[in-house]
Amino acid sequence: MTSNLPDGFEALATHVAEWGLKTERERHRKRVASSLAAVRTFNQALAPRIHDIVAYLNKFPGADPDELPPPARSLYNLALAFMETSHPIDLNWQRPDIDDAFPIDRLEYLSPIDLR
Amino acid sequence: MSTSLETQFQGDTHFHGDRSGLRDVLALRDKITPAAFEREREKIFKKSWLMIGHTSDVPEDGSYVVRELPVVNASLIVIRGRDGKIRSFHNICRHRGNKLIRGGAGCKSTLTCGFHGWTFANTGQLLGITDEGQFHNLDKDKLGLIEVATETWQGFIFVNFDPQPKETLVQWLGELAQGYDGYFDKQVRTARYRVRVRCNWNLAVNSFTEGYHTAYIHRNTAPDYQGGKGNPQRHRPFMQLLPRHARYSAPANPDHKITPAEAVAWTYGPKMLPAADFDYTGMAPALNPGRAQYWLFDVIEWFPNVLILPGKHYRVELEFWPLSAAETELTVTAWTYAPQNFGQRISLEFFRTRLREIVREDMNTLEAQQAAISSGAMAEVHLSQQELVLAHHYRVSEAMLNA
Repeated sequence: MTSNLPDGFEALATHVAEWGLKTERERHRKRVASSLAAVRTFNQALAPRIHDIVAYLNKFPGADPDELPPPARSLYNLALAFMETSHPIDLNWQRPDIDDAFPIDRLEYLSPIDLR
Repeated sequence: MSTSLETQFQGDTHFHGDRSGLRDVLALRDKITPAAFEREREKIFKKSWLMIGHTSDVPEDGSYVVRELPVVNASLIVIRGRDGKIRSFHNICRHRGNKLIRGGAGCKSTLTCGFHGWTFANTGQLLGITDEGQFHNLDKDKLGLIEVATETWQGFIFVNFDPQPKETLVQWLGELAQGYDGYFDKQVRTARYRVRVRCNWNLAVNSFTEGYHTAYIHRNTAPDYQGGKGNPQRHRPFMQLLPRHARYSAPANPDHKITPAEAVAWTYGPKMLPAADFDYTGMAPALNPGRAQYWLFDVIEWFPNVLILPGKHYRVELEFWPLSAAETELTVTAWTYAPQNFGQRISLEFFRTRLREIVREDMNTLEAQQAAISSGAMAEVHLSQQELVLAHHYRVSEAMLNA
């Protein structure tokens, strides 16, 4: 079976379908809609590999994700989802979202912005 | 009973500016009524320099953005003319008043009305009238687009709906126009969010102009980013009241505990919220104006409705646009230096997503405050010395309303 991630990162391939999301809005909503256990599983799967992921992606020039080949782009999407999922895990929340925060279904993520 | 904030203060905040006439007890219900809002529209929003965008939004000759500004009953076209100058025009055809551009952004060398085909230059002049022979005594030179005073400063675009603004933009900004050279215009937009809240615009602005709340409302997202052992109550080290605007500094916690993903982020990019970079070398002189040893960011209120939070490697801009007396559109934009590699880009993802969660906590207080204050159950609010910028906001507001 061929991996949808670059060589060396095959073990993370099982997370791509769920967490390899392209936009901040999708990643945020995925986090909040998941169980805390699922968020933790994903975050802890990425944590030991995140420096390797950055080292791999830094071999590509620039910082525009649309320039990456598809397997590298999937890896990049996972790295961003790692940051998205870090907040409930690193801050020891009891849920994937905080209780006393503005509802995310009323939050508009505006584009265009200069960064994706 | 109200006390004089001028004489009573004891503590470690260094105050600058005029504290005379400030009140620490405010009857806020009177400030959020529809009648008060109608007066604000005429006396404040039509008389102030309003920040409505950035020069980077209109990069080329002919680039434009359409801004809807219900608070002043206006739709504006902000456009860079073929001469490179940025102007703003009412989005109105001079013939019969049709809307020239329906919305959005783009680039046009000329603007043609869809109703009868009148054409205007991107500098505003009326260029062509269709079937012109059927009109009598038209002076085309007097039928250009209706211009609104527009000035730029450090990459920001401001407009003023006063037909004859009493001050230039630099005069309006006063001391805040100095010392930011090279800071704002090198950053790019990193994130942008918008919400509509059922809350008066004053209350919304007020919620972001004091640091007293940070230990409580942000306990889940940034539990230890400010204050620390040497400043456990997180008193602002510096606070400055200007003729219209205000500025203060937030104290960083030098013992902030860096969490795992944060440690990854700061490996590849500069320390940003909730951490701080204490090397101030080369920083624009207006930042950290009190020269605090442990500085996190400043909060600047550009009266009436914009806040800028500049840090060393980022800034956050908050725009509060009233939709009515009881509803506000709030836009939050994060700006940083453009990432040069994917490691920096991933580092920025930590910053922008944490910032977003912190701001969601601030946003969540607004509708509750509106409901409580408008209910009339509570006659007044009492302000701490750390909430002095709120008192100042209403002092400035009253001066303009009574002018």
